[in-house]
Amino acid sequence: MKSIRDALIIIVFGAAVGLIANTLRNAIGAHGLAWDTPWPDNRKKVELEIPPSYQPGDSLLSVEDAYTLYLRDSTLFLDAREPIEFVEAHIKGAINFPFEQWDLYWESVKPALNPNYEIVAYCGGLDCELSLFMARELKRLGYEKAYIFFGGWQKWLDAKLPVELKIDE
Amino acid sequence: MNSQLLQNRAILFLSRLILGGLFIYASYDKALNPLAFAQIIHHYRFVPPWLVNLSAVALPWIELLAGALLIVGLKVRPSNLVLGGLLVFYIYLLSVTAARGININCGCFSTSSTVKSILIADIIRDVAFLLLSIHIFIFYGARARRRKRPEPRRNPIR
Repeated sequence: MKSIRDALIIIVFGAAVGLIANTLRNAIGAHGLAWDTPWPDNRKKVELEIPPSYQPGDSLLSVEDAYTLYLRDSTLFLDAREPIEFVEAHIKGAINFPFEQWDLYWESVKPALNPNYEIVAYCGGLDCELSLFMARELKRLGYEKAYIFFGGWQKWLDAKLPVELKIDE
Repeated sequence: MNSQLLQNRAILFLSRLILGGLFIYASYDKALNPLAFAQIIHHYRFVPPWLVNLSAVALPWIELLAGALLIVGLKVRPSNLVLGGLLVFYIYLLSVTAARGININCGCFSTSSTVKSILIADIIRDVAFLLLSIHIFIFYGARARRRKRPEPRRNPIR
């Protein structure tokens, strides 16, 4: 019994040291883990929805995969919706690139794109395929790591992942 | 292999050194990169979201502490219990993950996303490490118990 009690003490003490070390790292900006880093609940397997216009070669992302890319600093999220929707709320850190106004926005968006890094295109929900068309066009222009987060905004909201609201800005 | 050999002090120390050293080594990268480790935990699709950050921050330090105690010979049985318990859990988790067909980096020694695991090989490896833990559990305890056993009293000669 004494061994079990001591084992529990080791677990609690080790965990406490970990929590303190992480808090200190966060305090000095040394790449600790932010306590509020959210994680979508992925314990139940969810089938990936296939867009009606899907073609072989389209790189689709689940919300989990999109979030994995999101955690990399280098990944850029492109919001293909209209500015009025984007301003209301969008994925935190995303850039607005309304697909239907490509020519108007392309020159301002282009400097932010890097062909070596992942680009994730998303739009409203499962009824919106603009992200699909945008990723295909980007691939055609040489951005090989352009991904489609189909149903993106709605899935992101459902998973309670980081967003920017109008009130935040 | 006879039990005399397994009870040998040097053999027991070797088991402690290997098991403890292994966990210290395993904890190093995970303690340094908690975000990457949290992602690996999340990829197992096993842990509820609220437990991911806590596990990622706490687990490496528990492994480090228990591994260090096992090597230096302080609280050997409790620290061995912790590491043995962790190994049983890891074997179960890897088996469930393999059975569900999830292909991930096990995160056992590295948090790098480029490292790919063969989960069956990871399970076999962990079973081998568990044998070390069982060895320590049985024979280190036996030595300690024997040391504590009082000398039998002799009948006084009348």
